[in-house]
Order: sequence, then C-alpha cells, then structure tokens
Amino acid sequence: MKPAVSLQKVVKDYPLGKVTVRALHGVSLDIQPGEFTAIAGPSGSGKTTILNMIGCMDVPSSGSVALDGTETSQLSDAQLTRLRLDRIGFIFQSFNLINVLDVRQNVEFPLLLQGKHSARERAERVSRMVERVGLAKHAKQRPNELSGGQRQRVAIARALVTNPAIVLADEPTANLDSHTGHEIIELMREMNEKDHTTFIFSTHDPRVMECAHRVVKVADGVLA
Amino acid sequence: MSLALALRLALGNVRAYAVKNLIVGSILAFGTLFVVTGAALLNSLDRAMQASVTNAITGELQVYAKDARDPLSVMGDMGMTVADIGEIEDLAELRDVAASVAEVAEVIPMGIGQSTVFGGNDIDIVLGELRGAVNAGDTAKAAALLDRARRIASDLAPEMDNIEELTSDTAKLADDRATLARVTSDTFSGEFAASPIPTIDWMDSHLAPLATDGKMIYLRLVGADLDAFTRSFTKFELVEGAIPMRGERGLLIPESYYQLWMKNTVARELDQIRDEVRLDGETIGITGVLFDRVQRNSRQYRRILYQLDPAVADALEPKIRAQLGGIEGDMATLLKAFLAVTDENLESRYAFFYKEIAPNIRLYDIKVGDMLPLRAFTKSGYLKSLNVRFAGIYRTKGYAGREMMTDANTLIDLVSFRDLYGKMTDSQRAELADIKASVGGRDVGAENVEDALFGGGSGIESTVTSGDGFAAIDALSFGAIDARVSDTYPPEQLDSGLALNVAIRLRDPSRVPEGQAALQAAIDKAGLPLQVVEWRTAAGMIGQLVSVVQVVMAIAVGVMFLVSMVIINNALVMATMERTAEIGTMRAVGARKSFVVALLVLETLLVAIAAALVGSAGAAALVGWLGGVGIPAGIDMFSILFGGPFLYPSIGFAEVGLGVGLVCAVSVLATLYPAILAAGVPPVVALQSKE
Ligand SMILES: Nc1ncnc2c1ncn2[C@@H]1O[C@H](COP(=O)(O)OP(=O)(O)O)[C@@H](O)[C@H]1O
Ligand SMILES: [Mg+2]
Repeated sequence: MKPAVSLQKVVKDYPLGKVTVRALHGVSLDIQPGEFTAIAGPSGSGKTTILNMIGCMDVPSSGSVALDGTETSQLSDAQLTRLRLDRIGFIFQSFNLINVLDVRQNVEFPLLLQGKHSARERAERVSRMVERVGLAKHAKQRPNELSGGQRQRVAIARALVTNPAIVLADEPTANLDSHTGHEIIELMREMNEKDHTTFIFSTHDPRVMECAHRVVKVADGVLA
Repeated sequence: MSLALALRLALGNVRAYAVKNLIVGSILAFGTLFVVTGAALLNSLDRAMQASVTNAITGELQVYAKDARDPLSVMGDMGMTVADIGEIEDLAELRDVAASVAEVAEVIPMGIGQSTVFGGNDIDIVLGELRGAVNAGDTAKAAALLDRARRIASDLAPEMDNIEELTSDTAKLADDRATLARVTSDTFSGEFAASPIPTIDWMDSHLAPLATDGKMIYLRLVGADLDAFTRSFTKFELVEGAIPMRGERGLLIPESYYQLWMKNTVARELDQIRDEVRLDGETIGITGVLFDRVQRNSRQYRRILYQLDPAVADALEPKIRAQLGGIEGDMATLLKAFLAVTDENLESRYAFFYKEIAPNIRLYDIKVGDMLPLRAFTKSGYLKSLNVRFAGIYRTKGYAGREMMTDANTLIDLVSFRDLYGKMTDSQRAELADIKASVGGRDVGAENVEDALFGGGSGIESTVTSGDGFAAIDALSFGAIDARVSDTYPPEQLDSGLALNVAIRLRDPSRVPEGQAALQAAIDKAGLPLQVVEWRTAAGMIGQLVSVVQVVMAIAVGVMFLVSMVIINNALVMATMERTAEIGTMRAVGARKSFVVALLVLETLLVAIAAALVGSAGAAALVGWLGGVGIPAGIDMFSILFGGPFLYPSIGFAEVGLGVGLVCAVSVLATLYPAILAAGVPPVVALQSKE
C-alpha cells in the first residue's frame, strides 16, 4: 500500500532579510493511510513547516512531497488549490472560521467551493457533520457566539465534510484549556477510527501526544 | 455555485466592515450625486438651449459651404468683423436635395453680413426736413426749420472757441467761423428766400459737418426668406410695423438694438440711469459713476434743444421752469438743470420728460417706415449703397435684455441682402462686359474692373463722408444695384440663387444627429460642396458653452473620481491587509485566486450600487427641487441659454444610468489592485495567524 504521505529529504529555507533560515534540514517521513499521527516538538522546531509541506500550502526548497504516491512539486497553484480542496482537511490553532457565516454555512463552505454536490446532498452532509461534532443546537450561530471548543468542533466538521484523505491539524488544542483540548483530540480520534481518515496533528503538549498512535519528534528542523 | 457563495460572503462582509464601507459608500454616494445632478443640469441646459437657439435663428441644422474660410456663427460673436462662410451657389439644388430627406421639415435660406446706416446729426435732420418743406412749398414750416438751423449754428459758435485751443488748422477754423457767421447773420433769411435749394446744398456741405454727433450705426445683417423665417422661428415676435411679404424689400431691427443705438442719446441715457436706480438699486448721490453720467447727460442738453421747434420750445419753457421750481434762465439753462436729475426727482423728471418733452423731439434717429440708406462693402471690396424700408421692430422672445449683443441681428429680405453682398445678376454681368469693352478691351477680371472704376478696392469710398460722395459712388455703380432699386422683387428669387447659409428645421428636434447624417449623406450624394452642422456648432460661441461646461465637468468628474479611486483603493488595501487571515484560510481550504478577486470586487460593487442608489435618490430630490423653484438666470446671457429667466431642470433614467454606471466602473477599477493583492495572500498565513 502506498503511504498517504511521503516526505523525502525535504529542506525548507525561509529568506529572512539578508540571511536564510533553514526551517527543515532534510526531513524524510512516511505516514500510512488511517494513521493518527502527532508531530511533536518545541516551539520553532518546524512542526508547522512540515504540515505546510504536507498540506501543499508551500513548496519545499528541495526534496519531494508525495500524497498517495502523487508527486506535488510539479503542480500549478490552481492544481494545488484543487488538491487541498478535494483531498485535505485543515484544522487550525486559531480555528480560522469565517466570521460572517454561521455554523452550517462554515461547514458548507468547502462543499460550495467544490461545486459538485446538489443542494440536498450538501444539506444532508452538513447536517450529519454538525450533528457528529455535537453542534446541532448551535447550527445557526455565528463563530463569535461560540466557545473555543465549539469553534474547533466547527473546524473539524468543515475539515471532514468533504471526506478528505488526510486531515492536518496545527496545534489544534493550543488555544483551548486542557479539558476542552482533550475532548477535541478525542473527537478527532473518533473520526479517525470511524472513517479511517489519516490524521496528522502537531503539538508540544505531552498529554495530547499520548493520544496519538504514532509520535514523530522534531527538533531544530530534523526528526529525532 | 461559488458565485452565490461569494455573494453570501460579500453581503456578510459588507456588514462586517461597516465603517470602511460607510466611508467608501459616502464617497461614492457623493460622487453619484455630483455626476447625476451635473448630468441632469447639463442635459436640461442643453435641451433648454436647443429650444432657445434653434427656435430663435439657427434651426436644428445649418448648411453652408464646405470650403468656408471661417466657421459659421449664426448668433454672432463679439467681434465686428464678418466671418467668411463661403457661398451656397444655388438654393434650388439644395432645396431639391433637402426635399428628398424625410427628416427635413423646412429650409430657410439665409445670409450673414453687416452694413452701416447713417443716423445723421441734428443739422442733417433739420436740413433734410427743410428740403422737404421747400419742395412741398410749405413756407411757414420752412421758416421755422430755418430758424432751428440758425439757432443750432449760433450755439455752435462758442464751440469754435474751444476748438481754437485744440486745432492747428487755422485756415479751416476761419472757414468754419465764416460759415457760422453767414448762417447767423441777419441777412441769411433773405439769402435763403432768394435761392432756397442752393442754400440748403451749401448748408449740407458747410454747416452739417460742423456738428460732430452724426453717427454711423452698425447693423449685423441676417438676410433671410423673412416669411419663412418669422413663421418657423417661434421666438420671433413683431413689436411694431409689419413683416415684409415675399417679394417685398424690408428690414426688421431688434428692439433692444433699436433702443440702444437709435434712440436719442439723452433719452436713452435717462432710461439707463433710471434702470440702474430702479433695477440695480444704485443711487445717483452727489459723487460717483452714476452722478458723473447724470452730469454728462445734462451737458448734452443740445441734443434735446436743437430738436425742439421754436414755437414748441416757447410753450415748454414755463412748464419746465415750473417743474424746476421757477428758476431763472433761458431754455438751454432750463434743460441743462432739468437733466441734472437727483435721486429725489428722478421719477418725476422721467415722467415729465416722456409726457412733455419726448413727444416734441425726434426720439429715435430712424422710425418704422423710413427708407434706410444702407451701406456695405461688397464681397469684392467696393462700397455699395441700398435704400431699404425699415419695415418693423421685432424681438426674440427671451432674448431681450439690458445688455447689448443678445438680440442684435437685423433681419433683411434675402434679395436685398444679396444686393448688398454684391453678387452680380446676369444683366449686371453684361453691363460689366460693356464697361470692360469701353475701357479698351484690356484683359481684366470683374474684380479688377471694379478696382479700375473705383480706384482700387475699398480705398477711396471708405474715406468719403459727405452725402455727395455717396451719390457719386451710386452714380458710378451698376444699374439696378444702387440706392434707387425698386421696393419689390419677384418672390421666386427666394427659391433659387445665392444664399450664404441655410437653416434646416427637422420634423423631430430630438433626433438632430440622425437628421444631420441623413442630410449630409444626401448632399454628398448630390455632389454639392456643402457641409451640415448642428445648431450647437452653428450658434457660435454661445453654442459652445454647453460643450465647454461639459468638458469642465468631465474634468471635474475625472479628478473627483481619481481622488475617490485613490481613497477607495487605500481603504481597500488596508482592509485587505487586515483580512489576510480570513483570505489565507479560504485559500488554504481550497478557494481559488479568482474566487478571492470576485469576492472583493463583489463587495465593493454592492457598496457602490447601494451608494449609487442613495446618490441618485439625492440627485433626483435635488434636481426635482430645482425643477420646482427654477434656477435664476441672473444675466441676460444665461436667460438666452435657459430660454427664459429660469432654468427648470429635470432628471431621467439616462442621467441616473450614467451616474450608476460610472460609479460602478470607478469602484471596480479601484478594487482591482487590492483584489490582486488579496489573491496573492498565500494560504500559509492561515496557519500563522493568531487569534
Ligand atoms: N515565513 C517564515 N519566515 C521566516 N522564518 C520562518 C517562517 N516560518 C517559519 N520560520 C522559522 O522556521 C522555524 C520553524 O518554524 P515553525 O515551523 O513555525 O515551528 P513550530 O511550528 O514548530 O513552532 C522557526 O525558526 C521559524 O522562526
Ligand atoms: Mg507552529
């Protein structure tokens, strides 16, 4: 079976004024489909950069990134955008919901961008997802009317509504208290177990790491 | 699908960024208000002007020679020179072509030129009447007129002393003094009785030139088929006299021009002083401009005195004395004092003047019914003279004003115009050929013959000042084209032959460009070397006004929108900077760049449409209000443009459409840069954002 994600000797340099900062020093990593993987490391170690590479949001300075065996370095911006829309779900540290849309509309957002589902199908999927994350009662509320935990549930629903192959979550619990954070991780694992969706999340919290099947440790841009 | 999403997002964002959108919206609403109101006012002005100008003189279209050296300016420009607008060789051809164009309703042939008419001085007039009385054998009247002439002469004597100080021509001064001495001597009446006509001739040549106030009045002539002109131009209004019929020669002088140039100058000055006081709220006081005018007018008392019949003067004297509170002095002193009006007595003196004095003087230099000796330089430069009857006084409705120039076209029948213009008829051409032969078969063209006859162009004739000189020219000029032409002409001459320009009335005045195109096409097809211009162009300076205002306004709108665009652009760039997290998230989740651009453009477009609606509503209210109360013209020039003392503007869909369209275009343009900036926001910022 092909790995869901395969990084080969990925190097990432960021220009910073006149110098360049090397955020990743040749990272190689395979993640199998259905894995529930934590990328752990201290702040500034390169976790977010790794997720960016996997999520096709940025291109490596050298090395290769393949999703499901498909090399992504040759793809155009439009193709990468489509790839993110169809294959990847994102959960962010700061939730990143669209404030002018209510819960249902936020969840529906990627489906509308995909533009391949009928209104009924969209409505069914959205309802199911909203229910699964336990927000049926809050469906009509705006993000700013919700708690942090509730917002992250909306983000999870939005990430999963398109049935992506991979869900990426960058420190999804960092802005939550430990109890709520734990609930969120539990919810993610529940989804992972039911749908066999590949989950990759970053964290520097040891208690969150405990929930992962596999923990990949990063320090100063290299895997430990 | 994603457009509906973008719309939903845009609607939300417009509300979410209310402050920014309120600022942008206010700017756009103000812009719309300005553009829509401005366009409505300009269009209303244009319509009012079209009605005013086309119904006064231009018609919707004017046709004139393609090879004209100057542009046609029917309304007249400030200058005194007459533009060279070429010729339309044969009206008949043009009439045929015009008849084939469905849009054309009427063809009114015209010509534009100028001439002078000699107003004459007081002595001229007295001598003219004297000659008439002698010829009629009215000895009593002749005696009274001779008496007047002699009084004028005795009044001129002291002026000779003034002249003595100024002139070095002592020989002429001695002659002039001798002239006055002879006229005022006790024996003169006897000399006159012995040989009246030679004595009058002598006075014509010796006494008349001494009175310097004879005046040459310029007339801006518009030759036309007067029947068609006065019927078709609805602004024409006859004030006095009658419109010459087809086949009848005649002149129609505009009322304001008649008042200004042909009225007794003392009376006119009195009118104007009263107008300044009554209409402009000025005061005469005891110093200042108006006071000086009153004093100057008072010194001109002779212009009244010389015109009074001695018997009438005697009857008037006690009345004026009573009016002045019984002061001492002769008639000259009385008149002088009478004319020195003050703020207190202006109204009573004015009323007295018109009741008692005016009926006894020649209030106007020329009167309806007079034969006017017109003088004009022909095309080839020689002086032509023609007597035409002063048939009436007219006004152009809405044009009458206190300032000159607004209604200054003297209308003349086209045939007389042609005579003055100097186009030769066949018989004249034949006569010219005879003259040519008699000069000895020298190979000379028509113009050269004129030069040979008259000593080279306009040279000598223009220096001739006495009536004798004109008579000499008349004697030399070609048969029919002199002062002694018949009062009538064959009416069909109006249908063919020469014109300088032609006014065209269209069936549908709202379709001027279509009419212009159709007529020009027909003219070109017929091979006539003529051009068709619309009334705006043909009207001259006045017609350009709307275009000028349009350009000024376009520049103002351009500048305003440029500034708006910069402001909106900045506001949107700033807003975009604040929204990178949101944009980055959308990009990360899978929104394409084009979606982001569409979203931002849609947002401003929504604001723009709302603003345009508000601005248009405001403009509609403003223009509606102005349409109710009217915009006062203020000065005469604007009354003409407005077609009356007020402009009542109106607003229509065209103006609103223009405003809304412009505002939307501007706002979309202003959004392009920020939108491109937004599309460039990389998806990674979504992961970097902190809440
Ligand atoms: N856009 C960037 N420009 C410059 N340096 C960056 C940028 N993004 C990340 N870095 C640097 O790369 C390193 C790794 O950062 P990051 O992947 O965000 O770490 P983590 O997510 O583990 O905190 C850090 O030293 C950080 O300063
Ligand atoms: Mg990070």
